[in-house]
Amino acid sequence: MNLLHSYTNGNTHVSLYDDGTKVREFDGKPMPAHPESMDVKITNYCDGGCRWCHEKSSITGKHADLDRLLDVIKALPAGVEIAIGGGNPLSHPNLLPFLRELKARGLVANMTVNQKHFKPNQNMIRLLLSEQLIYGLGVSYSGTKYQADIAPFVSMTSNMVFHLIMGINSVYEIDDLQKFVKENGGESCKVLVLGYKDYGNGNPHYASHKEAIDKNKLRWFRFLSSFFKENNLTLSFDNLAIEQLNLKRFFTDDAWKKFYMGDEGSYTCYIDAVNQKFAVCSVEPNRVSFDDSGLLTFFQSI
Amino acid sequence: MQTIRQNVFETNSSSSHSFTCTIETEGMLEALVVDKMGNITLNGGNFSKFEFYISSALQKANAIAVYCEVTGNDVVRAMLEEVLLSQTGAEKVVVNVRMLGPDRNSYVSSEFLSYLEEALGSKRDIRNFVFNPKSEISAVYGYDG
Repeated sequence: MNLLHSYTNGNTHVSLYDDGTKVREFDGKPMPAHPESMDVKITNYCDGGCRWCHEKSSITGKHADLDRLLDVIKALPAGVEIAIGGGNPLSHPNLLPFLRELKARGLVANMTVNQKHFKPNQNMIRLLLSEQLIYGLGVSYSGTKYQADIAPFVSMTSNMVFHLIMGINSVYEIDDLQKFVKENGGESCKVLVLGYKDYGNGNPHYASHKEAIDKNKLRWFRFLSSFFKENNLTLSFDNLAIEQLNLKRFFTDDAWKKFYMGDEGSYTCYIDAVNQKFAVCSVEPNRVSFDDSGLLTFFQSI
Repeated sequence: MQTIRQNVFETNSSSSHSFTCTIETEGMLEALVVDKMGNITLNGGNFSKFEFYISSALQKANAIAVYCEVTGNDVVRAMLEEVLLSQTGAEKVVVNVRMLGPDRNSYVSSEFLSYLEEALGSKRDIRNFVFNPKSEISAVYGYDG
């Protein structure tokens, strides 16, 4: 792997490599001056129709003012990651100039795309990857139905990450994805496990499918570890999944200290650019308007 | 101090990739996966041989189950069950250890029992003993060759 960026953030030195590996080095307690990564919602438009969407995105959703967003994040130095999502971020009419500006600033853009949106946007996704306008490509995975649509991209990038949601996706889909990646010439399979968000549309969806969702989550809890010894598989987890899986049970204390990247808000924060608000993360109801705070002031206040 | 995210960019736009692991991640505890009924079944084993080596989580859990059967130590038995249930999400722990009769399936030496006793002081000890791959037993009894 090759070094992509390195920078100093407060008392922490950060190195980011081209396979996504990030190494933080610090003495004492880490005191970051700015976020290492921003989770950014650039649109609330989406025709995916996922009933559990915690963002409540829909075909009536609005797009963000990306010029305002670029101004808000102007204090971030090169090397900081911007995780772009929506809604369907590919639907934003100003996506390309926005990504080109991020690249010009040395910011590392990553994007999550729903599997359903690959086919209608395949030329755009090819362009984003070939021009290195995005590095990590997250795929909101919805099963084998749309697998053929993502097959051509598996060998194009080694930084494709399949997002599976506990309570929605089956834990056994990890097995399917490993085979799928191998069959399509991918080097290794990367999976991000997301906890079930009982927020937005996730709340009523849970209320009406409680038994099925809880059973599904229990299977994750019981069988996830059977994938730990698989070759060429990288498993990553968001903080909600860590809590719902009690992930710490699988690791020694020393390993946890070394590989746990921190609670929400310790190195990251969320921007709802559509509504021009900051939050600790996307499921945090307390939000602060762009008009009331700058990004760094907000981050320091967390 | 160093913290490391391995092998992935931050693609998630709603929360962060807060932990990553691969087969090469150091410090991963051993997994014990429940059966289709959602149970963990302990069938004992032979822990009385002159020489043996146990390292898998299932072997070590079985060794403790045999210890409990022989010594009648219900405190350790309860701790073992609690550790296995919380670690695996199992519905129940089925103990099928038989020390007597024609269908006997387990054997143990007194040396082995004393060795185990030292490793079973608390739930934390039991968890570490069973699931930490660095915790293993290599025994040679009454063997001087």
